[in-house]
Amino acid sequence: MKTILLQGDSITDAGRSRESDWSMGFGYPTLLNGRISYDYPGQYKVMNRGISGNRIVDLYARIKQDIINLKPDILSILIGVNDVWHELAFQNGVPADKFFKIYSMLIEEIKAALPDTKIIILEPFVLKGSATKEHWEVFRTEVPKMAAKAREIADKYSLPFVELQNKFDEALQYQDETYWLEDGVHPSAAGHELIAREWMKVFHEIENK
Amino acid sequence: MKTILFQGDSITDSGRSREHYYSVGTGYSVLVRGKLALSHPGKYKVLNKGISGDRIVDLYARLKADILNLKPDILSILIGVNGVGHEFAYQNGVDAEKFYTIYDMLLTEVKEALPDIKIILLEPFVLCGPGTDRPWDAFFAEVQKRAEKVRILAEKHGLPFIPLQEKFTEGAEKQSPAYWLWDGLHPTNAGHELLAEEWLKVFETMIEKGEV
Repeated sequence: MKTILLQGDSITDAGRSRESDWSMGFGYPTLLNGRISYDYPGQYKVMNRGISGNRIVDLYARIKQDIINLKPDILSILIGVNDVWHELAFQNGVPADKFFKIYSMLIEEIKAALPDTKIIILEPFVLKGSATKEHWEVFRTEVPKMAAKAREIADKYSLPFVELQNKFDEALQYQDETYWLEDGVHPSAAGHELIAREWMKVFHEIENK
Repeated sequence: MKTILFQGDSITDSGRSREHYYSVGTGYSVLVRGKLALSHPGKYKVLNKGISGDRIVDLYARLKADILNLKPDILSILIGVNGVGHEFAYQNGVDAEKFYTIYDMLLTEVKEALPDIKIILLEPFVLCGPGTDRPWDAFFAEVQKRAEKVRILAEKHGLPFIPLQEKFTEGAEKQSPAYWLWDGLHPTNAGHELLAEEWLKVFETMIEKGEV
């Protein structure tokens, strides 16, 4: 039985239980767990350890207890939007260069501790919505910087990268922003499904190797 | 009016209120605040933003909200024992090398953002007690490594360093360890008084030199 650990912020957290591993919230982790447990019976255990509000520095502080000690075979990380958002809301963000530096430290320490773990990097994304419209110009320019850094991390360590921003942008031709991301940050049911589908494509590539 | 910010873990936190900005708890912060208010009226404002359970990585995550944005004139840091204790208790510690690396990053970023700030580093300390007997020799050896790293950081960044381990060890020879640190980690009222006295010795010399 291999372990898949999903890490990140509120998008991953999605209201998961802090007491039970079985209740992993209403987001893409539950959708992935359904697909994986249906398609690969008895082969994978999925765990969600996302925590609402996390920036890269908060995830880094949790590296031992919530990543390394769990010894996942596959680790999936989606982080970056709070690093922008919390600057605007609380002057408590993380600039892009520091985001890259701490993200690199995180990956290097995980690789040193768990050399066989496969790591998947998810692209942070944003759309115009109730939470982002006031500072939309900043979100529109800053979140793509975090996305570019996440992609750089994937390139630097040769990790699979799940593109999401362009998928959400493309989806706008069918429905408007709130249909995919309720407030411009947090996915709707359809938005979580989009993430799950893109994630599964990369997962199948890893599996087929 | 200059702002003194105390940062650290539960030793600094000491039950401060999270609702009241100026609440400083019942530890050395309130003792220092009282002494300074009496000896240097109207000159210093004291803030305590210590958080129970913090290791260096947790403090680093709080760097902006709880240090830089408060723009203190003087920053006092006491951290290190949870990096050891949480390893024994939860396998969630921070080893000595990483402690040094992250502490160094923290100091570098503080100095970059607030070039005029005065930073004071406190030596982490322990005595033998129920919180440190895991076993004691191993716990003490690890805390000593952190203490040495803090001393090196103080030298590297040219910062005042407040030695504390030796003071507590000497105190324990006169009274029991629990008289100073009730569980081997957390100071009693007497222990906080010792901390405040040692802190003020260094701070008074900084006042004399006109640094603060």
